[in-house]
Amino acid sequence: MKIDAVINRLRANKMAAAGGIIVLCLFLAAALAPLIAPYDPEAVNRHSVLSAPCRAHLLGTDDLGRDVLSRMLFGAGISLSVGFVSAGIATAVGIAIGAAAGYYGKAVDAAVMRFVDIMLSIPTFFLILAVIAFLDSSIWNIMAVIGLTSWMGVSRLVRAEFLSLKNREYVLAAKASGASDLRIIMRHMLPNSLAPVIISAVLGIAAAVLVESALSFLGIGVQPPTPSWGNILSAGKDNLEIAWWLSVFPGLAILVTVMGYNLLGEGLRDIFDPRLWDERS
Amino acid sequence: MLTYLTKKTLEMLITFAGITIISFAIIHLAPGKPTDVLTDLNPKITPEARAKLEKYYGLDKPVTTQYAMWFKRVIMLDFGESFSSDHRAVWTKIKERLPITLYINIASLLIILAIAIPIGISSAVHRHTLYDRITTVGVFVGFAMPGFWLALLLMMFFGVHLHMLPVAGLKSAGFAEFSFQGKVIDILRHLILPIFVSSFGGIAGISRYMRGSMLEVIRQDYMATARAKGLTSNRIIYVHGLRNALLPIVTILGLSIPGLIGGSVIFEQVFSIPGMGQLFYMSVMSRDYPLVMGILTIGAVLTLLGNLFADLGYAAVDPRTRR
Repeated sequence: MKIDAVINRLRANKMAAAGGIIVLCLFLAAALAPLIAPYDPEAVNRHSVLSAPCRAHLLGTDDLGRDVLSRMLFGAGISLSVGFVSAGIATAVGIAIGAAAGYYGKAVDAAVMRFVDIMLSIPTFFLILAVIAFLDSSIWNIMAVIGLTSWMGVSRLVRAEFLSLKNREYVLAAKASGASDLRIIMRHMLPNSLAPVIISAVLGIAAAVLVESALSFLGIGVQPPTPSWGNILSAGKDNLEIAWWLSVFPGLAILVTVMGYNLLGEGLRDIFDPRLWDERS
Repeated sequence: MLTYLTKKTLEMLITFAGITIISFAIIHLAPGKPTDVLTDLNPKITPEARAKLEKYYGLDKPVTTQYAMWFKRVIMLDFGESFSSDHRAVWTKIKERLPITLYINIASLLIILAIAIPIGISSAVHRHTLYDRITTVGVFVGFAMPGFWLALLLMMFFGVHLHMLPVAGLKSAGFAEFSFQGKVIDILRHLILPIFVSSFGGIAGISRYMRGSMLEVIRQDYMATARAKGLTSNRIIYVHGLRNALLPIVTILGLSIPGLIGGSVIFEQVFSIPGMGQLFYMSVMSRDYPLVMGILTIGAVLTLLGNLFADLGYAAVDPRTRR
């Protein structure tokens, strides 16, 4: 399928378009945060502690008098980068492992799929929590750990695609003409199995955003004073009775963001699914 | 059926061994020795005492020997002693906190099934109606809802605003003086919000899968046959359709168990429920390595048991898998 055909379908698909707009807004918020944020997100102000939303602070202030809107705008960048990098790591690892299993089959496949089953039976959130608490909770560790614990879905998809592509004529032809395994995998098989991988990568971003916010909420994710939606919510919990704005706005941002990625992912699924093409046109 | 069971058990054992290796490796990721925490907390500890400790945990031996020693003890449910000041056995600590986590998770699973399956079926049957659209939107919201945020909102609304429900712990003050009935009601009141929060995401997910699965089934020939026989549409859907549509759901349920167990850290922490999730959080924060390893292992065992039940359920419903 050509790129412009995809873009045309993307426009026609309301779900994907809505998701795309949300993600675009997120990018804009993150990129423009230094310009449009009304305050320094880390500036403590003793005179405006826990002030409710008002004209000076549109979304109120937190327990140290920091402006919530500014913190949320800067938090968008954290959320975006954790989401994309983690999902990127997961996708890369998943492709490598799934491709090896599907292409080589037999013993490699059996061993790899057993490893996937093992990873799927560990309560991943426990694992992430333990690793991050034992190492230190720098943003790089968070991205790496989320990525390295969420590649299993992608690897299963890629394996299934590769198993069905393995004996296609163009793959056999490439093999007969002496192309290396790596070349066959990268140039011939991977491009033909990208659609499900892209969808699952987009949905993976959503999952990573949720995990990062949960970690930061529990106090082992992104560490204050660096703003993240999760750690603003953590302050929200401590001041639940007096400061509703600390709990409502960052949570809403997480909800809308995750919904944006999910809508985009599901919309792309419809766009890539040839069974649905006739129904729509 | 017997060979099927043997094969499954063997697979489970391999998976269990793999999980313990991964858990063990993670503890060794941490910089320094596990006993450092113990000794830092007791600055007066003598070098001899430290050496004794290291010997107890086998830290003077190579990693593979350490793993073998640990694995041997784990099979006997001996996870060693907690590093915390009470020095109690890890298994005792887990044992007293496991039931509440299990009850909450089982209750959420039942609620998820009871709500999600009817929603999934009806939105598949009434596809493209207003009802289907509304449930679809609901599913997207449910998928994207961070559990801890939902918990905060509910605590704020029902606890702080309306003063209707308690927001933390399992028991009210003065619990000991309540009548039996009063005790039951009190605990249930404390559990409403946690159970609701932990089943919310699952309801969205499972109802979506149920809808997809039912849509697949409706297209099948045997459904047309049933209709041609003149069976009532309810009977077609709930007898012929449901049984087939439930199959993939059994697998999905098995796969969602690690998520439920992992999620218990979050809701137990938010609602201050003294369960295994909260214990895990505390053990991780205080670097209580024996306790962390113990809970990781128990969590994995629970998942494996859940998967086993899912497989057995699958075999019970679908004779083809028994071969």
